[in-house]
Amino acid sequence: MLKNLRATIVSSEKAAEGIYRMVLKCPGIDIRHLIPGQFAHVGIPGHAELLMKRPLSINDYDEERETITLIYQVKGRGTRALSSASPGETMDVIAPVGRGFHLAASDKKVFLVGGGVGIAPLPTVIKRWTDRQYEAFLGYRGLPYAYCQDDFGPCDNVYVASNDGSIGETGVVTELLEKRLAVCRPDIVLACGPIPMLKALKKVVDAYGLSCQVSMEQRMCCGFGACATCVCGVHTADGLDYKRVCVEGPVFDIREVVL
Amino acid sequence: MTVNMSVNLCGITLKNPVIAASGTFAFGRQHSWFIDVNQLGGIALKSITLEKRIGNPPPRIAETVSGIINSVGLQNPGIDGFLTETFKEVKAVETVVIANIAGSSIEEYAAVAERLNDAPVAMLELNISCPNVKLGGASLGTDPASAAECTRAVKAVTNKPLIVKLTPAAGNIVAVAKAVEDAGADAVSLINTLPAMAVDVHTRKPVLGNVTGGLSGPAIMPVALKMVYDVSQAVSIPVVGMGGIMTGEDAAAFMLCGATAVMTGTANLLDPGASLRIIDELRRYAEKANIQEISALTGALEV
Repeated sequence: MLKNLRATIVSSEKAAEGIYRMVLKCPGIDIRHLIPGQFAHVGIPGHAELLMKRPLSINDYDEERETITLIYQVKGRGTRALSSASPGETMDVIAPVGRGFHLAASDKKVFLVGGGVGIAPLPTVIKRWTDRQYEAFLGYRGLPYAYCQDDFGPCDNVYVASNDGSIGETGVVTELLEKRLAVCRPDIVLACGPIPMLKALKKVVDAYGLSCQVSMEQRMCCGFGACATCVCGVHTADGLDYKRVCVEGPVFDIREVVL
Repeated sequence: MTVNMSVNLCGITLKNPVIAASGTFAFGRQHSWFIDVNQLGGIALKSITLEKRIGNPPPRIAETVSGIINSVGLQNPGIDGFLTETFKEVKAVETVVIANIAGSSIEEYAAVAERLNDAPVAMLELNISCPNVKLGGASLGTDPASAAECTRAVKAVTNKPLIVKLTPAAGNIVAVAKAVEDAGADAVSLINTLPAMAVDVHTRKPVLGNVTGGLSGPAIMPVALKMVYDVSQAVSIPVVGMGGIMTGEDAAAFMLCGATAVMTGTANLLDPGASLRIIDELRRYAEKANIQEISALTGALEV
């Protein structure tokens, strides 16, 4: 259940170049019903002039300790300020937010595809649904930007690509996915990453007729569906409409969203 | 000592002077996940137009220092969608509900107003000041004669008290206020967002998909206070003040400058519980100041 919470920073550290990992203690958070792909909407401590919260990926959770681990990329004033905040500092958090990934009982073999900071929410899928077979396809800009690889330990296979070949194979993650699909098909693909990656992914899953869910990102204000600012385009019978990424997403069918 | 928090707005009693501003409370349902929305003095619904509108392309929000710029563009289900679907959410609300209407022509405003005559809303608010629509909208609200014409057209068909919401983009907001008062408006509300934009210098692109939007939040409060002060001295109808209210003392400042009631906007989006906190803070301010009737604050500025 979505709740308005007061959180305390337990730890904050650099995970890779420009990528930070933060553990928040959130008393009262409903972790039992947390769905992988849901996110946390996090205030910036110590900066009253930065009014908006930031939508950040949940990378891990601990029900007993009431903690969530967030991973985010420093993009602007808010995330920069957040990255320099110290343990003990407090902020308002709305969590867990949105519609997460959905696995049907028949989705036994699951391919996870992540690019850059979009890799961050995927490990919760493996943690929550332990009775599936996973393979992961991870794309990084290069070795200095790599993080979270250990989180994919339970996967049968982990394929890594980077733009410069400094980690894994040289190229993009969707090329690795295509190679693998030539030999093995999953029941479903779950993905999160930049729009160019999602566009390339759409071509691949269309070619193979695979079901695929993607997690979308958008500049966001309230985080609970009231302001209608964080929308993404969706295809409808009439043509185009907009849906709110916060409460109608962030996870959509790849064939529904305008990429 | 208990403070009587109720105020009278156009013959309708509000249990307290704090109303959720249009566009920041949707149709009430989302905030009810967090708070009892019936504790608010009132709720102004998101703007309703004649036809469904999908709104502006994203991104629709940019953050500035102590402010936010939005360009939602009146995304709403249209009057038919409202009366059949959204209506159900509104019917459950047990405080004063104000329907906000917008349009691209004066005829459209009147048509929507007429359709709302049988709806469970206590009052109408005329959005002649949204900066995010190309037709009508801001241009209607900046010209006293057009604003008056729109007010007259709606008054001719509605059976509800009418608030006209004014834009700070008007060259002379006092002239617009007087014009709509003469045309039959029962109250004015001000200010809507200020026309604004944000730029990403790294990509050399505007942050907003619509290029420009409307600035709200604490950044605009001093501008809003001055306009509420000026307008309330020029008209005899009630003034509803808004613009960056974040605390009970902010609300008190608007009332001292002449506002009968206030609207909280951006605060509702930053914290779903903000309006109830603001009501509580306003009550405590009044207790400390030995004020028995909150309405006594209206226009009590000592200059």
